Amino acid sequence: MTSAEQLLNEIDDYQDTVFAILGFVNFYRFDDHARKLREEVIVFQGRRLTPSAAKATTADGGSRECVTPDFGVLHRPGHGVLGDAKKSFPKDRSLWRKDFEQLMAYDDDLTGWPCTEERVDAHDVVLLTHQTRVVAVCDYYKDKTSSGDIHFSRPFSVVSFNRSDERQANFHFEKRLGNLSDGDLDERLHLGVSVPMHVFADEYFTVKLYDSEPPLPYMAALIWEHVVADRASEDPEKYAALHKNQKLEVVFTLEEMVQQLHQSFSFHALGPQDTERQPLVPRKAWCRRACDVLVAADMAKWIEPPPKDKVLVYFRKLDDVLARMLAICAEGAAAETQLPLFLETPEDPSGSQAGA
Amino acid sequence: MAAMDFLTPFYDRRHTRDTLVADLDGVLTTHASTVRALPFYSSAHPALWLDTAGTSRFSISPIHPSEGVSLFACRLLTKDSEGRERSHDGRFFIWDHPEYPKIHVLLTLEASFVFDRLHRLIERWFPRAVTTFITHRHLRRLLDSFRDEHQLSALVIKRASFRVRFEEHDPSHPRRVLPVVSWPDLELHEAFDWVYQQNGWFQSLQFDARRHQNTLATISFTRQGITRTTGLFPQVFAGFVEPVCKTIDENVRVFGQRSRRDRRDLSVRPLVIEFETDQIAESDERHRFVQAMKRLRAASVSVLHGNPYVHLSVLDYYDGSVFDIWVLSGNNITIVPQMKGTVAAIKRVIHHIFDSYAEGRMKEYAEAQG
Repeated sequence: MTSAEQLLNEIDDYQDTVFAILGFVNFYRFDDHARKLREEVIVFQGRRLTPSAAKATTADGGSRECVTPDFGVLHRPGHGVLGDAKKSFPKDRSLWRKDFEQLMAYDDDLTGWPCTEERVDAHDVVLLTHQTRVVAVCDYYKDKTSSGDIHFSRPFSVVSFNRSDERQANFHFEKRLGNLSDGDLDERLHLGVSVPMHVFADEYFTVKLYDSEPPLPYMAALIWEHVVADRASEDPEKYAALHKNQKLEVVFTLEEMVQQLHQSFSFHALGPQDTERQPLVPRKAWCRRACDVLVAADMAKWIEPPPKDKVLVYFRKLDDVLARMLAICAEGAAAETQLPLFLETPEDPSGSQAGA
Repeated sequence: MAAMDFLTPFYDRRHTRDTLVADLDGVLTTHASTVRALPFYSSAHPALWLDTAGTSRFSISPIHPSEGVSLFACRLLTKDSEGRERSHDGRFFIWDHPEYPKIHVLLTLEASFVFDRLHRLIERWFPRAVTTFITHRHLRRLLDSFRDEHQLSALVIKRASFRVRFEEHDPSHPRRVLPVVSWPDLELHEAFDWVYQQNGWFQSLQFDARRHQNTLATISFTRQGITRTTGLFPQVFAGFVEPVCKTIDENVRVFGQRSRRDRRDLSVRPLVIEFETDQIAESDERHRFVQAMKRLRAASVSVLHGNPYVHLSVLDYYDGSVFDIWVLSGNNITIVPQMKGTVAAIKRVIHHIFDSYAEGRMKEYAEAQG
């Protein structure tokens, strides 16, 4: 069963991943000597890059139209970094192969970089992962490179991150494998760098989503607080006068929801804006799934037949929006896991229920 | 009827922004009266909404709306102990501040039950009308300056109510109102030090302004900036009402234009509450802060992270403003207004933090980062 606490941990992991991306790209963005951001450095997230002909085919023979690294940096003309941030890896190591295949796909003469030529002369590939998994990940990499299963022709490195739970919250980054082309940064990360969270907090304040679906309760809470309440308060008198047991009906399309959250909380403000290669975050499907949660909890209803593009939400003044979303998602997960148990009961020769 | 004998000619006279304070003082000098003053911010001039803000039991109508000073009548319907309908008529002025265009002062000679209704009416007009709050430190400074500037020998506290942070919802620590007899021998600084040590703040203070053995006026001042006096009105106006107007204006300037929608690039303009010490460094303290925030009324307060750093999301149920609140270091709290963050909502959040957790100094985020 997925408890509210587990879901909250998942949200925490999601936020940590966002922070890790922001913290890492900030090593390139922030000029330590001038104490300001380098304007010439371009940061992007979730951008679709086109593979070269040599890598346009996947390992299983399918065609690869694009790759979408979790983060990218153009830190000087013709030079960049691409990478993925992955806080956790599954226990089954055979599944790690897919993650490394994705990283190897970035080791390519890709087109679509946010510069006039759309290509760069050289770039690094970086994997950001949590400190608790980094040793196992590096061991896996070494095993697979020695057997020839994994190979990078461009500089590849693994950088660990962890949030220190001390009096002052900070993120610690440390290079655990490989080398970065930027010698200064490589040396710093070799020794490990602790960055107080407030140092790169400016970006935390606007970036809540990256190109990976967040836990449902988090997505639902963002929609409720930043889209539904915002729309409900457009009629200030009705909004202010609404009692706790009353509802205010608010209608909007998923497209409006996506646009509003994209403008508010994606990497949009930090990176290039061309939408052809830069998909909108959040995705419409994520919003649809979050709205399904509201619908299942009788807090909303779809007002157009599938593909469910328009929703009516019954806005209410909840005491704690996130707690409510956690509760309904946990209830939903519990119901899903309990249903098979009830169906199985008649076939249970002992007549006892699981867990009883 | 005796009151009407002097008040009717007073109200019939045309008062201007420059003369009203002296004119009211004239009434205090010649008749045993009390004047009450309530400074507030209003997004639209009060003359445009006051008559519509009344209720069937408390109505308001303009008498002399004019530039700088407007006179209004109000009628309050009550029932006596035998259920008979009673009508109370009153009047009040709205004084427009000459320097701060959206700051006004409600002034009245009416009794407290009429003033209280007017006060409630303005509070109900929130977020379009907003009062302020005076920090403990500021209150102390105003009292010290008032005593020194007017060469008063003493400000003798006659009555005071104070609240203690954190415990106010604990039945074993109910809201405390100290009785009159507890205070007369206490010096001003002793009273403030004592309340500070209790981790509390004065909700209101009533004191005698004395020069040697003479009591020149009995004055009350509240945390919301409401003043009441029986004399020395020009001095009280300059010493308390004007500084409160200035504070409200500062609030509007500091808290204004914080919505991300106010800027083309949708960037944030965070505000920081900075403490002199590492007030909020320990996990116990952060827990107390989160608990204090959970008591914010008419809002959703969600805890995304509680320790070691704090991240809260606050949705205001008066106007739909949304804030992230972060504690990332030991000596400050960062308030990040999101797409919508109005002056009224920011003021309310900060007021709540000051009341229920601790008072600090407001700073721009960049300034606090040094």
